[in-house]
Amino acid sequence: MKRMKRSLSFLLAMLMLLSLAACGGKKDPAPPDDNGTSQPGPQDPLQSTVVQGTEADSYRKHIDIALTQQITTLDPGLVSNVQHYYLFNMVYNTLLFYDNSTKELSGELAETFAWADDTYTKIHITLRPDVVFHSGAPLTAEDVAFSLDRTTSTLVTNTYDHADVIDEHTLDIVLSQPNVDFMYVLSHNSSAIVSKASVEADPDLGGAVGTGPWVIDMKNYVAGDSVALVRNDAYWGEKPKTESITLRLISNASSRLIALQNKEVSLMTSVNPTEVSSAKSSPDITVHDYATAQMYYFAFNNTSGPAADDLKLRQAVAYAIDREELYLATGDTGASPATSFWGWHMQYYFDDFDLDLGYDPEKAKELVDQLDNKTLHLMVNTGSSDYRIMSQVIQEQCRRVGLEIVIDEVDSAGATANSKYASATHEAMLYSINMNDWDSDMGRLLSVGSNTNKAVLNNERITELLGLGVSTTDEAQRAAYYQEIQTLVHDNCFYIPLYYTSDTTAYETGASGMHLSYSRDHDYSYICIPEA
Amino acid sequence: MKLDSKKKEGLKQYRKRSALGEIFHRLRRNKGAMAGACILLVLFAVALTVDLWLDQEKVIGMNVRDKLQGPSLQHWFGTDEMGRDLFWRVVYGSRFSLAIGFVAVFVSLIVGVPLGAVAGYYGKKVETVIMRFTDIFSAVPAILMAVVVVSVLGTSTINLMIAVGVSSIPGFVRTTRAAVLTVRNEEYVEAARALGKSDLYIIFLHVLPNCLSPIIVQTTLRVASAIVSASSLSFLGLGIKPPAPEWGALLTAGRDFILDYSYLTFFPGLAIMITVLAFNLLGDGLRDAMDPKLKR
Amino acid sequence: MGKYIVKRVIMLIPVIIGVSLLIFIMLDLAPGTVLDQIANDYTPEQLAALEHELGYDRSVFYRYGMYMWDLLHGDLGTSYIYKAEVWDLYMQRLPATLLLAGASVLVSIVLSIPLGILAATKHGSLTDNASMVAALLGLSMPNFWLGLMLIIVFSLNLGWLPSSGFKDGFRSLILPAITIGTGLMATLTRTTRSSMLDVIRSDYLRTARAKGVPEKTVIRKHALKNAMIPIITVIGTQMGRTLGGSVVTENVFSWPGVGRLTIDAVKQRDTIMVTGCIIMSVIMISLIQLLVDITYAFVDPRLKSQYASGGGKRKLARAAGGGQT
Repeated sequence: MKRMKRSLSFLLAMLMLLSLAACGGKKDPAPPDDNGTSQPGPQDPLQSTVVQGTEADSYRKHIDIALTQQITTLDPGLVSNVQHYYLFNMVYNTLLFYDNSTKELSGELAETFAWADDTYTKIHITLRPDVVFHSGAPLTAEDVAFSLDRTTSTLVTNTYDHADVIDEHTLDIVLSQPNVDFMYVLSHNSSAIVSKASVEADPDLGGAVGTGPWVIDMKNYVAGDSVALVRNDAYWGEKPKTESITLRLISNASSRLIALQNKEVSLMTSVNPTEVSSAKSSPDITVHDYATAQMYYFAFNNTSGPAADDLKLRQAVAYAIDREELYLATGDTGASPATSFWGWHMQYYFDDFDLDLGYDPEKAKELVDQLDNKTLHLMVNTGSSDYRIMSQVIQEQCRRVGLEIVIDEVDSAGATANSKYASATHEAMLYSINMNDWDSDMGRLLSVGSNTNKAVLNNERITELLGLGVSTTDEAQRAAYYQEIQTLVHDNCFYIPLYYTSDTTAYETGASGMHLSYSRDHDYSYICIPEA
Repeated sequence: MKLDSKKKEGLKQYRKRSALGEIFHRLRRNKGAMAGACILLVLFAVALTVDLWLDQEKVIGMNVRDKLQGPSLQHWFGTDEMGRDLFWRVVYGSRFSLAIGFVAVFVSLIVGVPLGAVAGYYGKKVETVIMRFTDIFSAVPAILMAVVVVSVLGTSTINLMIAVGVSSIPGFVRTTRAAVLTVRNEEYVEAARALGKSDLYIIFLHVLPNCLSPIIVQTTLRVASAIVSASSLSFLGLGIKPPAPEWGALLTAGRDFILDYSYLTFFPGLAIMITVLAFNLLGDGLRDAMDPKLKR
Repeated sequence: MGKYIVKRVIMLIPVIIGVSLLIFIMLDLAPGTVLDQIANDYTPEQLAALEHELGYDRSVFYRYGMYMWDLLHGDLGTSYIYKAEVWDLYMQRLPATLLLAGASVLVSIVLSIPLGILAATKHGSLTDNASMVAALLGLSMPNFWLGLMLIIVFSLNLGWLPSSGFKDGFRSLILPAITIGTGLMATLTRTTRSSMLDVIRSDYLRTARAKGVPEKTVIRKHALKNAMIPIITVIGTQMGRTLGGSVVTENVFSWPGVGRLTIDAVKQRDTIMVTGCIIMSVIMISLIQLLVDITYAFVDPRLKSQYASGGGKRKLARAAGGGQT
């Protein structure tokens, strides 16, 4: 009996300890510093860096990295989003490598690459001869053709027609229409090269065999949770110093930071904005914050619904929105307001419009007074707290000028379903886009039939200009085309760009070798931590 | 109980009253149950009157200068990221949490009890059909069922109540059926049937009133678990959205600050725990008091 | 015995048919389909072909029929979110789930049975009341709150135990198992207490005491063994329920369990994945029920003869249902 009493008292003691410690916590954290982060503007080029470290005799053998969202599949031909790119960067190679710091393309699996002529419809490629897949099979031109044929990404399929294999290591990539930006597409993860033999032998998992510095350890793969990687000792390029890496999902930002502080993981992205100062104050953690190529935007449905034929309504909303209030509310102190619906890092970015649609509640009021319909439904994916907060702020801002915004809450499945191009039912919605570096990438948001076209935009002139932009060889002309698109979207308020986000990556102090990019698809292939 | 049925109607009434008295007497001796009842009384008093004496401004008014201050004499539970006093938010939140608990259980009561009563009273095919459906329904874990219902209906306070309620229907069907089975062949039921009363009349006026005790116990315990379920749904991102000070929503909002300001999570959780504990203590006490086996 | 198992399996069939129909219909009512989730991964032509292949151009009953046909052939179907077989995906998660369920039930046993015995032997005393309050405390705390508090204390402040994942083996298991285990305590403690009370007051224990056997031995040797059957029933039920997925705790500890897989699938409208997970959990639960039934025979020799003589489920259930209301 005594023992039972003891266990009972132990239990009670534990509970008290628990409540005490929970109350205690850290009493006096450093106040969040508002001036600490520099505020990059659209003028400054976005930065990417490789974290530098010190040489050491030995390095930690295993490293864990925290993901923010699920990795659902290992096959680069089947899915495209930032979360998967972490994995694809490590396991696969592409034909070309694009360095977004120098803005230069170089060969990766391709030894040489060139446009066959100045019609921009054919690329001539010769492959490195020394590359082998994780399965041991050598890389051939057949594999390249096979990989490009099977990828489902519209980035590739929109312009790629077929590949002519010339011999084992040479091929021509033929496009269905001229596209000056297609070499960039070839450097993108959607065109990663997989092994034809492996996919044909095992259609389900064969797509997980690449040529990159890391090999997927299939035995320890848990779909949607974690991917275990081991070093590819037969890699053709520089070999990593670390022996194995696990990418695993910790979806809550606070939990990620706790895991980092507790040394369960060595690197994480997206620190909770409210906890950045706390993370920075810890000597064990280094925080890298940077402006990104991600943009939040407000999209009207321009095909059906009240906003479709009502320029005044659209402009009224544009005047009513105070962008700074938006990103202060979401806690994104490193954000920058967006004026033009275009990537601020893109070559042909333009924001010197004649019509000023910046925050102006007086003008908004004037326009609202002329409206018959003073109500607009805004579809919001409440799965993301950013959208939820922004929608409430926008609702309040519009209320101030007499416009009623009704928030329709849906989950992310509902948001995607209701905004499909062919059957869109939303009147307006909030969304975001991760933009690639090349200008024609904006086509995803502007072209007819694209499900990323959340404005359900079907504008003949814009479609024509997009086509002209990717086919002309004359840079000045291209600049004029893209400027016209940006002006059209801006003046007509098809979309209202809100702000460019900032993001953070936090890692164990001492870690180095990671390539941290403003495009957020960081490359962790060469992460290493010196052994203490 | 066997004895009861052999007595005449009038005598039964007398015995029943004394049985109630007996239950109350036993309940009063159970200190845990009484403590639970006292806590609940205070909570109800607060939740029902809070509108009258608490200034709304205290609950939703923002005061960013005072944001994220730890517990102090001025702010007992500290302040949140908008500078709102957490203590008053938790006090005001009692309305939401208790309402969710009760409405959710009400939803499962009005569906579950009639189904269970019909199944128990008619038996045979009706019973088989209803109980098979119940089996199927309860094969889906409750929280998952709630998530599915919220996905179908969308997120709002009412839908949250329905979702939580729907997922506890099988419990009520089973409890009611089991209770009805024990009384459906009692003499007073037979007598009513002989008098030509309709089945509906018999079920609601003779059968159910004599099955109340397990249903009451079940209700008390279910309110407790409904409050927890609702807060779990908030935690999974499917519940009531801030700024409504529902406890689960407060707790979930606090999670973003858990590293530096864990009191934002601690106090709403404590409020849930105390409330749910009170319901559980009372429910448990009632179960003991109504359990004939523990009479000695 | 064999006959009994066959009967059990046959009883599963209508439940599986019903549950999958229920899930299919409900998820069909929710906005969006799994195809919307993966729309960006395919070209419009591929998507249209996939829509036809998966039956999304027909009614939900057609899709259900397709699913059932596959199920009849032992195929749980393919998840188009993960582009993989549901069976494989489930099996990737099962080890973590089994481990956590086992550990949680163990925690609950270690805490509850002594507490229940203590309460029963001190029936009516302050200790009795305190034990029951302690047991109810576990049930009254929202799981995720307890989990978060444990993380703050033991991971963040003390740095003793990991806060996430499952790679540190035993150490990773401690916090989530305590989180779930304390939630299971209330029922088990209460069952132990009431069935111990029944046994302690029984005649043959009175005889044992009269013979001069020390009270400690009476409790340990005689009473506990006889009170075991209702306790095992409760343990079985709890094990089953935990296997269905402890969504919230898995979420707090980033645990790669079945619960998270299922919830994610609901959010992604991956009907086939959700149905597959629930069918598997129905099967697991009834498997455990079967194990529990077999365990009775070992605990109580009186029941072994009933198995031998082919005694039906009803007799067993009656014997087992002792302490339960």
